This record gives sequence, structure tokens and C-alpha cells, in this order.
Amino acid sequence: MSLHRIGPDAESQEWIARLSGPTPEREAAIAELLAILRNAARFVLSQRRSRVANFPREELDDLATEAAGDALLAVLARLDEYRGESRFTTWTWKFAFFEASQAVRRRSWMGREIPSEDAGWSAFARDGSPEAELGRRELLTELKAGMDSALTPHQRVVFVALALNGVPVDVLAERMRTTRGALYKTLHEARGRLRAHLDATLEPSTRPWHPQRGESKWRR
Amino acid sequence: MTWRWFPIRRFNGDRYPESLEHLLGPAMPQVSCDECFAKIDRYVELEAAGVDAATEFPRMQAHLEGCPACKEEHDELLAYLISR
Repeated sequence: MSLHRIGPDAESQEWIARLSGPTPEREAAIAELLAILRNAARFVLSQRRSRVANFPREELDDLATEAAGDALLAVLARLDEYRGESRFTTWTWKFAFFEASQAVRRRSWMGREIPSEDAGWSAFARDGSPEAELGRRELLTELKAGMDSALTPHQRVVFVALALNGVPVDVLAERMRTTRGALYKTLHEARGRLRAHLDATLEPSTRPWHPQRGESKWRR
Repeated sequence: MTWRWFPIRRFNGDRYPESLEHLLGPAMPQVSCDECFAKIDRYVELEAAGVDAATEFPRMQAHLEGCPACKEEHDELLAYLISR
């Protein structure tokens, strides 16, 4: 099994031919594709009703139209990257989903401050069973020590925002003027450092949630 | 035999409480956001066809578990594909 397939099927080949063909045919294909992308963007918005519930109706239509337009530009700019590893329509949908998702996340966070580190810790500390409280406190102490000693200032900011406070990665990327990929890479490295710190400092026999000490109820 | 603290459920190094594992993310190699985007269309088509893509492509699966944005887009793309 491979993530690569041999080449485009007949329908996908036809799409490529039409989009690369003479002007009238190309324009018709582009109009058809834009409608497909708009439907995909509307689907994304419909899936996120709770987050867009307070958006005016016209704004939702604008978001879908704008996301579809941006997706169309991306598809046309990257047409030569299509290798037929999926059906052409599936390949184009992902651009619409990316653009629409990003638009919703950014719009949802418009005007909101990035939560502080303290706010994140408070939420984390509340998330657990009472019997696990002792272990949790010890774990939090060690985790914070790891953040102090193992993370760079930039890694700490990214870890706190993305992992602790659940800020969407593209929202943070926009505010920090960087890319989603660069931020996730930083998060991944920070997580690796923290895991290594915890693995090195918390010996199994001293871990308060050690199953043999009768506190294995961390797991559901 | 190597003693393990808890049965591995999702992550390679799943040894801490669930809320902490969520913070720390998957402890296994994973693709980047860009690689995930490049392959997600093929990945969801395999899933829709009944292939256990998560087992076949653990680096993609690890990324989807660690990156909420990519996971959200994956879930919705898969749902859309299945609904067509």
C-alpha cells in the first residue's frame, strides 16, 4: 500500500485537459470548479455552526465565496503538482477546506487576546479526578520546571499558546507573522524536549500515579 | 519482558495521564503540516475505501493526533468525501 497511486483516472484527466485547454473551454471549467469549491467551503461552514452562529448570514456567504476564490487561485497555481494520487475533485476540495477552515478560525478569534500562561494552567489543573490530584500537582511542578529549563523563550510561547491554551495554529501564525508549518515544527520540538525532561526526571517508582501504588485511575 | 505502565492506546510513548499526553503530543515520528496537506487527499480516499490508513501510515496518523488544525480539516474532508 502506498500514499502514491499510478496516475489520474479518466475524469481527472479530463479536468486537467479542460483547465489547460483553449480559452472558452478553460473558462467554463474554471467556473465549474469554482462552484465545486464553493460547495466544499459551505460544507466546512455548516460543520462549524457553533463557532459561526453569531456571524451575520451575509458574512457567512462572503466567507465561503472568498475561501472558494482563494482555493481556486491555489489550485490553478499548483495544477502542475497534481499527480493523480487522488481523484482531481478530492485534490481540489482540500484547498477549499484549508481556506475555509482558516477563515473560520481567524474570524472566530478576531479581537480576542491570546490567553495567558496562568489561564492555561488553571484550566489544565481543573481537568482531572480528585484522587489524581496529588500526582497531578507533582507532575505540573515537573512540567513547569521542564518549561523553565528545557525550552527556549520562543518554544515556550508557542507551547503555551498552542498546547496549553488551544489557540488555533493559523491564528497564532497570523499574529506572529510566521507560517503554520513553522509553528507546528516549533511545537513538536518543544513537546519532545518536555517529554525527554519528564522521562529523565520522573523515575517510575517515584511517580505518584504508578499503577502498583494503586493510583492508576488516570486512564479511563 | 519490558514492563509498561499503561497499555498503549494511541501514542507510542503513552505513559502519562491522558491530559498530559494531550499536551505532549504523539511521541513518535510524524510528517509536517505541509506533508500532511500534500497527502491528505489520498489518505482520506484510502480511508473511505476501507483501508486502515492510520496503521498503514503511522507518521500521518501521528501528525493528525498532534495537530488539531490538520485533524479538523481531515475529519471534515473525510466526511465530505463519504457524503458525496
